Amino acid sequence: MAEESWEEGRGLDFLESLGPDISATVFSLLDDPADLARATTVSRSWRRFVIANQFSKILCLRVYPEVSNFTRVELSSISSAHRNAGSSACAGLEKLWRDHRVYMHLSHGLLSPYDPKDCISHCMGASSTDRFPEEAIENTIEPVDRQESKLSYWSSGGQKDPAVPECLIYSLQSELCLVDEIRIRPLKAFFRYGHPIYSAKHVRFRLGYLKPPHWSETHVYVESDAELIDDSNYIWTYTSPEFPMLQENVMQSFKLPHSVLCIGGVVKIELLGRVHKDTFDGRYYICVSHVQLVGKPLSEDFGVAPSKNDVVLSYYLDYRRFGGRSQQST
Amino acid sequence: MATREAGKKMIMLKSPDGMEFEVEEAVAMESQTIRKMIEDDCADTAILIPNINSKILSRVIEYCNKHVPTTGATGAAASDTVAPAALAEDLKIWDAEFIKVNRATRFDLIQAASYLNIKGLLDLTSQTTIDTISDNSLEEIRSFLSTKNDYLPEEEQTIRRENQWAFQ
Repeated sequence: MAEESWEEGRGLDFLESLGPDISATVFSLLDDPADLARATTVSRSWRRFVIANQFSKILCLRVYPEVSNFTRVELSSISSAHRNAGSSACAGLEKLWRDHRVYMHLSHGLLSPYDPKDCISHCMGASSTDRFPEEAIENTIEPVDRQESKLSYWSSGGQKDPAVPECLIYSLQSELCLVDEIRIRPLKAFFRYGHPIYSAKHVRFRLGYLKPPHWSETHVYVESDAELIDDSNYIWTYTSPEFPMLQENVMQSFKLPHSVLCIGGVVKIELLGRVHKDTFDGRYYICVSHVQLVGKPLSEDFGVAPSKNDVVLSYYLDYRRFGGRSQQST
Repeated sequence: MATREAGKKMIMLKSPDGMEFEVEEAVAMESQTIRKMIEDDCADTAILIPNINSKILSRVIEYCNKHVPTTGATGAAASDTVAPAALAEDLKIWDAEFIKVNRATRFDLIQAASYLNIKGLLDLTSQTTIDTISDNSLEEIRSFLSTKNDYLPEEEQTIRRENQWAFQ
């Protein structure tokens, strides 16, 4: 490119000479958030152009279509500088500016390289548990699943019909998480005759969030197992294909077809179909030793605020640094 | 479709500065805009290409000549002997040489590719411009793309701080 510098000061600006439509075609090829951010620093007209065309949002949508679930964005701050209500004539511009700020940060969070890690924060519950608490879902996130004399695992209740499904529900470390892969190890019961393996026939995964009133500004809760497993209490923004599960005592990897943005931080693992029938009661069980959700939790600066009919993406400019959402006084 | 003795139908393209270029129809139809004119029977004698001078139009034709898919008797023989991957590699090297032009020419080529709707050429010329943004400092981008920095120094600092991560 060095040969071009002799032309300095000659001709029109790139945006002016190509016009808005062709310039937009060119800019839409920018696929690195850092390049887009740098472009806004080149000049005022470039910044106006990037904001008006929503390139930062387009960049997020291109790689993670789930982003289209957000009906709007909010920029939150403890200082009042960003809360100034503009006149109605400026409202459209303010919205574009706010979208740009938030989606610029989101694109950085979504597209920067990462080392995948287990993203589970805690267990929300299981569709059934045979013996509580010895066989509770909490055992599935223990780092060691077998000590010398004791197995740690979750067991469903027994069913006469092998088709009855079960589910395990987990909460992730952030309200926005990228999920690449789910790993599940079914239980091999060394304490039973024949060492049976209590796998499921198939698994399927749903990612999403709890709807109000189960979701609130300060906490997420369900009161009963019936509420927990009722799909009508959730919005699932992603449902995976069904994967066959092997009747093998290994950590089985289920790679999603592509990395998925989990909006709201709730993951439901659906265990479809039972394989092993216990001889002593003639019932089918599913048992799981260990579960991992591999991906990347996005920064705590992002929040998700579901309402009755939509979901809002929040970006906390500074106040999480001053104690986070739980201590918010208002 | 009518064919001439040579087996290839020719089309005349005219630039606004009066130059005429006779090209094979298949080459001209690399442009979706021209393809539509031909298919709609609007191209009996010569097609006037407005806004694209002869210098740029000749470069565009050069590009289309190189990129037109090789078909017919000779083309089929060629594709039997040359692996598609090698052909693609050859085209990439050719493209890289083709786009070594000054900024004014490149902008003209972008506009021509957009008007004539030649996707390959539009991608090539646009990507080269994008690379200028990716590979250079802010000062260099302003210089290469002839953009005046109209930010006050403190304004520029504020904008940079918004996305500090992009400058690390």
